[in-house]
Amino acid sequence: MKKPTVAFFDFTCCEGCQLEVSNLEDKLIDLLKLVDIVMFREVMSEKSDTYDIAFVEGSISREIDIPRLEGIRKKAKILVALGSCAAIGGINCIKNFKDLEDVKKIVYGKDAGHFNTILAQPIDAVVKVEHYLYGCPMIKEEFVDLVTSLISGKKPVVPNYPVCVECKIQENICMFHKGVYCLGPITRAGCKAICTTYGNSCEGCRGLTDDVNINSQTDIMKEHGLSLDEALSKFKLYGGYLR
Amino acid sequence: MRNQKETTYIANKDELCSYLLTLPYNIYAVTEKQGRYVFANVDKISDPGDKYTPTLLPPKKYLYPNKETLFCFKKTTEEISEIEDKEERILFGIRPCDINAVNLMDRIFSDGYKDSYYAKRRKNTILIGVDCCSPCDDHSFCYSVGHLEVKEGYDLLLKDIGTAYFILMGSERGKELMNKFTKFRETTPQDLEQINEIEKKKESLFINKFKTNVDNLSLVFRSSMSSPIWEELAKRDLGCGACNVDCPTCYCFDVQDRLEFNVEDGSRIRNWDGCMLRDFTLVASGEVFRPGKADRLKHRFNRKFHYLMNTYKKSHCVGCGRCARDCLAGISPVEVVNSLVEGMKVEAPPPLPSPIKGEGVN
Repeated sequence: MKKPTVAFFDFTCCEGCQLEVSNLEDKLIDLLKLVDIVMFREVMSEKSDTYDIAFVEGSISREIDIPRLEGIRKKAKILVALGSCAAIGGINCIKNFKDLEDVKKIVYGKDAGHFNTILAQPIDAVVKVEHYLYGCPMIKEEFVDLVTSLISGKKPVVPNYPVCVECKIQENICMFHKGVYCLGPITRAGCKAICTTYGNSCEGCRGLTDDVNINSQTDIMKEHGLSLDEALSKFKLYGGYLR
Repeated sequence: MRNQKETTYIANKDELCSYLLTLPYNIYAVTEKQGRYVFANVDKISDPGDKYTPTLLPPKKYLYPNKETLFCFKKTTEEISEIEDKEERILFGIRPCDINAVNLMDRIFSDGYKDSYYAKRRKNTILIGVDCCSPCDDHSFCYSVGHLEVKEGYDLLLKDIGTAYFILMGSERGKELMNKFTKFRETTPQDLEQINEIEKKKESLFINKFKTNVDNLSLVFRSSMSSPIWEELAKRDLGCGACNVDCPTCYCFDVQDRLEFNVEDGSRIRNWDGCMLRDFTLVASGEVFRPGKADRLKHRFNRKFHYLMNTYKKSHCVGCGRCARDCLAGISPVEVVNSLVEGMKVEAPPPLPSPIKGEGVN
């Protein structure tokens, strides 16, 4: 059987999710037995115009991104959103709450006139996406599960329950009980509650589950001393793209 | 009150704990974690005594662990290698509510289909209980659901009497443990008097927090299927599943196959699942048959106080209060039960209009 070809692409992002793929180190040799990587700017110089599976990192934030993404979509049999920016819009969407002209001036100063920007959006706002790898950065184990699932025709496992489940399994003290706000109750799990396990609150990088109770979460954040504005600004860090 | 004919013993706390540590078992005991408690592997036993509040996770994590690998397989040859848990362990300091929960789980995992994974771990686990002399905190309600007292399931049950433990033996295995241990003595009438004193005091400390008797619960829940309370609670419910994970009698699971990068070696893994989570009722057609939070809340509470209670004649909530303690939305079984009981009262007829002045009323 011919090995499927794989290519990596990036839009507005830090390329940290692709870095996580290259960090698979001890598993990369096994990965290469499964697939042919034909384009991966971060780790190789070769390029290719044909590929079966495209991993796309980053959100869409410029007009010229749209035809490029549409081109990738046409060539790829399977399109995977790699990480928060591509999957849910991510932190790039913070700018969506400001005037775009002001945003350009903040970033580029006197050169602002040379740049164009549009509201930041996840890639599925532009093209159809088959699979999602959530997280900032994405989780290596989920990448392995997705690739092996695609190869073997199995459905990949993506949790649709909140971080609280994994946080309780880790036997952490609830952040709210420590007097700290946390987006764990509404955020998609899969990260093994890594932030709360190491003492930080959940910032919601994996996006919302399909079954959230935002009203109750907001009430609880207010009960714990956050104003509505503060609570909303927490939601906006990763969850600024409004569907 | 205990059966006076039962042979009971007294042993010095430190001597008993030191003896247990010499045995060829891994010892798991109650340990402090940032102001709360967890069961953890220890090389020194120091039970918190009456400072105890229920551990973050119940001891089910040893008998029915999350992410348990059931077996490994090879995809093409379909070769299967069973994974067998061989660890011999002692759980020290397990409280009556949690022992009662283990008793309920024993029945769940052996009634009809016998779960060999659970059975093996259960067989390899010695339970040394420590009895509660006073309520652990405001969230617990073991007495209200009939789970304050424990009659079986433990190998040894200890009662804290200062520097010593009063010891009840619950099994042959418990007796063997004590036979190998030499530094104990039989109880004297004075000891028994002291124990009776503690038991008597206990009776006044634990109260029924429910506005009904535990035996009525299945009736209360059966009559409350269309109560507006479920929708009211659903407004607050985060659907975070903490109550399922924390619960010593929640046993539902999901099974997944994981493949290695060689797409040949794989393993079948059983994960904890929970009825408060949406995808618990997601079926192959894509339909979710308990779509609303109210449906799920109603289901969970009925599992504990109605369906399983009808089958096994015991509340399947042991009143440890872990769910209430950890629920950010403040949903507590005590509140739910009492709201339902109150909601069942026949409404009083509206008050008569107050008499109008000057109309000849005496």
